Amino acid sequence: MFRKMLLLGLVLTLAAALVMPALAQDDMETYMLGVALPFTGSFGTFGQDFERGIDLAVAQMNAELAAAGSAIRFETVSADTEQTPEGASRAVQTIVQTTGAQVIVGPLTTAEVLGAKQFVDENGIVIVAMASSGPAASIPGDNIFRVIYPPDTFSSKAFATIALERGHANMVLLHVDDAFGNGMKEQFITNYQAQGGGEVATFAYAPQSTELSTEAAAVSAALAGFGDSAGFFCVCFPGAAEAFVQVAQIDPILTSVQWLGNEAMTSDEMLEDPGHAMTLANADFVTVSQSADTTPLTPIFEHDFVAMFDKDPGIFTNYAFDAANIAMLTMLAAGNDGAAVKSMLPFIANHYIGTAVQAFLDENGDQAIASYGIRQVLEDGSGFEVIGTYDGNNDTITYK
Amino acid sequence: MIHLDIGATVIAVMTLFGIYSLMSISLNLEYGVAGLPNFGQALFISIGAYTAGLTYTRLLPLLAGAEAIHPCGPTMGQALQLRSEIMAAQPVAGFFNLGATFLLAALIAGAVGFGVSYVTLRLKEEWFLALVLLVGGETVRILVRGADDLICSHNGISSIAQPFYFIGEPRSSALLFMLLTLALALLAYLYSQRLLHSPYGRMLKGLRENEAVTRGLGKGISLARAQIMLIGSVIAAIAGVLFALNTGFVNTNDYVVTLTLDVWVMVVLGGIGNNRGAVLGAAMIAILDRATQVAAIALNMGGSPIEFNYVRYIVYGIILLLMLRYRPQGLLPESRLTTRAHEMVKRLLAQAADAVPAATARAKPMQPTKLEAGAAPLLKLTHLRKDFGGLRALHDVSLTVPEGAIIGLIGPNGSGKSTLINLVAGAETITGGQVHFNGEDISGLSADAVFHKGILRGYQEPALYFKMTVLDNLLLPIPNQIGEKPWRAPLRRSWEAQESANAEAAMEALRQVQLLPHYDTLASDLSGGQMKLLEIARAMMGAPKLLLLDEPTAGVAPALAYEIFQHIARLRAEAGVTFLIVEHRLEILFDFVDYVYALHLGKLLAAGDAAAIAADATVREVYFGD
Amino acid sequence: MPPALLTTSLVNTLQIGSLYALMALGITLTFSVMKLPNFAHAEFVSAGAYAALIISLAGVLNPLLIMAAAFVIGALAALLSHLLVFKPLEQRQVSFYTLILASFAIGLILRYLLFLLADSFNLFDLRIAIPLRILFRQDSLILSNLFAWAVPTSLLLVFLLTLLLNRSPLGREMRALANNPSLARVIGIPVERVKNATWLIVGGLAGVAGALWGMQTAVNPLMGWAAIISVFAAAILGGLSSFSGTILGAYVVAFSENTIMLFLNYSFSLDLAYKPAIPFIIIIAVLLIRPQGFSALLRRGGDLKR
Repeated sequence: MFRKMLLLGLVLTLAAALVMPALAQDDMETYMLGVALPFTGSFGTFGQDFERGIDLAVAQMNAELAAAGSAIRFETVSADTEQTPEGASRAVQTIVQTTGAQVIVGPLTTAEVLGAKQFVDENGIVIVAMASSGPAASIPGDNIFRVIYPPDTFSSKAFATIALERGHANMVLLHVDDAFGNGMKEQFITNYQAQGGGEVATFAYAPQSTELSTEAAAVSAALAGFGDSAGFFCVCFPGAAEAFVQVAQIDPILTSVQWLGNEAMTSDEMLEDPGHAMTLANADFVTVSQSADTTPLTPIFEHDFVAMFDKDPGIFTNYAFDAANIAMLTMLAAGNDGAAVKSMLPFIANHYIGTAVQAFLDENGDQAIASYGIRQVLEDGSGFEVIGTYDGNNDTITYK
Repeated sequence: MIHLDIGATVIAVMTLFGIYSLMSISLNLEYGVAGLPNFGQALFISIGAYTAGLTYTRLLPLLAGAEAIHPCGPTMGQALQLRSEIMAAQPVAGFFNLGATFLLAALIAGAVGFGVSYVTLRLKEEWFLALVLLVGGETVRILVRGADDLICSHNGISSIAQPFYFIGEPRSSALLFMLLTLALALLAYLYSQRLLHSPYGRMLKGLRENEAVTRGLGKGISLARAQIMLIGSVIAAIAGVLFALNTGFVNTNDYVVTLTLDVWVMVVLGGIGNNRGAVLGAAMIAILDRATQVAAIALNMGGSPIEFNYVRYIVYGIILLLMLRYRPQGLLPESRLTTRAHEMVKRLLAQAADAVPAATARAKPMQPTKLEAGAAPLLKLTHLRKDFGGLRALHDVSLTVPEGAIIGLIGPNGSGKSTLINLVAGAETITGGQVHFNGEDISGLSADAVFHKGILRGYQEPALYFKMTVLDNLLLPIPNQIGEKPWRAPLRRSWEAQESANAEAAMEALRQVQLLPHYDTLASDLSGGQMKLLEIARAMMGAPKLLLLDEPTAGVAPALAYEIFQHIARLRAEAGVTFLIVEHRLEILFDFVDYVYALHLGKLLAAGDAAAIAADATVREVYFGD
Repeated sequence: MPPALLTTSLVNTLQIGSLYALMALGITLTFSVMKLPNFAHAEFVSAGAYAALIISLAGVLNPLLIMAAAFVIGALAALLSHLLVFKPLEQRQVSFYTLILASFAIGLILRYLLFLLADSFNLFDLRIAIPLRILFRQDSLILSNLFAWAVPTSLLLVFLLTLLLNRSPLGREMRALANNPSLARVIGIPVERVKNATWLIVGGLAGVAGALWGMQTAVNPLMGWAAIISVFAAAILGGLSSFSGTILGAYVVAFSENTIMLFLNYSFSLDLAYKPAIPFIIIIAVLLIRPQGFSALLRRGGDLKR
């Protein structure tokens, strides 16, 4: 019986594979845009939100192409990376081998990007990642482009500069124990101490932790040890950040120092809880984010996204939209061919306006423009306001 | 739009199939054949992958005559480029490096598998091994992630090219890599088939079925189990190396509990204890994974309202549950005829049928013979004592069993008879007193050591290997089998002659108890009486000097009970075996015994020949209630 | 180690240890009565947490009602797992490892059903909306209202469970089943009814633990899975048979993860990222050195096997 069921499943899959091309019209040329993101697991919501951003970009592009009478249409094909490097490698392989896609938007984290690297390099497939920022993937000459979001080398410098400007003689840093968190930690310490900062006590929490009272106690003790002049910097993912703020809000030390935090900490859910919002407000919580700048595209993207999906875009979703646009524009210019796209992509990216900031790629294929907005929690905890900007290329802070 | 690249898809799926097959063959040897619950597959696979991470960053540059660059931190990019250049330009260095990786991974994984299982299984129940390995895998993962510089834990080692990368054309190099994994999988398959068909495989299945009996038959089980764990771990580590090469990336996020579960699902789906089943399971997972992902792509393109990727996992779980419920043995159940001996017996039987119609080889009824006076004592118990907590089960019992005698041991339930048998056989520890056998103090020896002294025991309930054939039941106890050594087992020639001779001996034994026509029947399919006969025949295959029998006629029809004792008498007469028999059917026992000891409440109540005991007033009182 | 850190870590030990105890008792109970190391227990916890979250989002903010909802859903999940999967498998007399695999499969199915639910209604990393308040403060000793809910609730439930086990007919039947299943059947204990009741209790306790855990942290479908190893470590420390041993084990695990980890971090700079390794190391050490755990030390009240 199960053999029959399995057989049936296989037959259906094959049938789908055979029928779908037949349905496509012959006079159209379809370019496949691969999307490899974690759709399941703790980052599943990120992946799905990013996919919406990509779908929006593709829908708009197809509408324009139709209006212009072009025969080219884009179609997305998505596969789940299961949030592991090996899963990312399999997802990219499946997309490429099932649809012949030459360009993949995604994956999410630096580890996933590196997991897919060998296959894409070897097979001439181009990866356009939207949010991976670990310095580990800054490799010249490969097929990986990280277009809008710059490597953490810049933001870590921004955080170090802000920490010093706020007068923190010493820092306590809590970070997620992965490529992103450790990269951030190393860069932050280097930059902070290079500019005359004092000691940095660091604590790592294991990825996927859901309970951080131990970590909060350790951070609190370290802050107490440094005395009044110390600041706290949290490099945390949303779920863990929630859990951390939850326990931190009744800690006398943590509620009496100033906080810095990475952009992922500023999710909507964070401020929904009044206790959490007030904790961040009292801590003068500041983050730097690439998206605080506006371009003419910013309001258009937000409006169109709400119109299409009836909900606000999540954090980083606009970068997925940008990455998809850069990928599609390059394909329109260079054709549906990995090698051509690889060669042409920096040129197109460097002429793309972006929803938050323009792209300009360095020799590693990474975003070189680092123009961050400095955002602080409003006093009543109801939202964030932009209090200044940080120009990563010149390492200068301008307050409003 | 689906545009299936059939060639590339087949290569990718077949490569994964090869790697998964290695994993499932490894677990099938450990769990399917030997019954060892290795829940640490992820650990052994990760050892292979981490080793690849080490060799491709440290050893490869040396083999290529370049200077190694630290693979982590600021020099990461340079190290990566050097690696890729070497793999593209110096295939020989690449191959040497791969060989070294296999060797090193096999060494480490083998040592871990052997060590952990040897320690755990000597001390504890087998499911402790399951937990220790499950937990050990995660612990090692956390520790490797913590040890920064080993494999750049947080970033991982990327761009580990597979050995055919130098060809430069992705399709051809992928094809060759696929052939490499399939060849290794085939090798592992053939090797494990040979193991399964050898006396070693038979012993492992015996261990799986009944540990105590196998120990009592003189097999060193801790070592045998540790050996199969070693073999399984080595295969898993080789799969791990290939797994890392296939992704081209090593880090700690991939080797989690779910990987272990995947391997278990392969074995359970395919068929536990059946190598073909294990391979089928691997194929199903490799295909299902790709097929569901393609289906997810197709469905998402069609605008599915729910996230199909979650549904994939739910469907996976449901399939597993349905299989466990309706097909617990897997799609290809274990074959009962595995060992070579069956073919030999079949051939011999065919020859015999061709030649002369075999005379009814039924043994003639044998009259009991009595012992000559003055035989030397073979077994001597002095003040044997056993306490269970505060309860004394045996009070300083002393008795002797002369060589060549049939000695009865009687007493009401709870009088300590079975305890006495257990103490002599080494199945329980002795509280006080000594056991001498052949003039040698054997008190406190383990069950398998006692066996090797020449003592074999039977059990009250038939303790056969029920899921093995009658023939395998007879062959397992034979001591000193060449093919029971794992390194000899695959070399069929080295043990075939001995197996053939053993098979003939087994045939003779079966003929005597009229079980020869049933040689390829599962022991569980025999009648109760046949089981008793088989147990006695099996005991004889171990060539014991002393046979301890615990109620050999329990639950058997009276006519057959008498026949069983006739076999006992014949064995004493023909093979010179000495018997110590616990029995309740005194009317039969007394016809055959030379001497009887009666126990009551753990104390020796009376001793004498059958007539004397039958007449003894105290015995009559406790036993017959007179 | 500064006194403030020590105090905070001890408060955390009590609070988290109480939650571990609630979850670990279920593991011990299923293992003793059903002879099953149930890995799906993690998902009973998550299911309870989601029940609590949903009812709190619907406007119910009374912690007692929230916990009651969690109890019901956790109990239902457990009972259904038993009736649909474990019971038919037990009737087929499958091996121990088949049952373990089945429990993993149930966990997988439940986990991704919760993912589907969370995905459809955007319920990731939300908190059960009970505001955190400080109830008591003296120097560095700070006790919150969540502490006041978690610790007494857990202790009360544990006490009630012990009472049930030792003083009620059902408890006697459960103990009989734990000691000798075939004998229990022979002397006329309604085995199936006792098993159903046990599953309801086990799942209900897990659900309540999920609700309390969700007030303490954020609710997501992986929360139970993330805690399960610590919980198993606690149960194994209890020898998988002793109630008092399991409770002691839960506090020992929480103490190791909090106070000992912080001490090692403070005094020897051991990275906090090693924290997840602690329950693993406890499990390995107990299994290899003292497999009976604390059960032999505490052979009195609340023991399932005597």
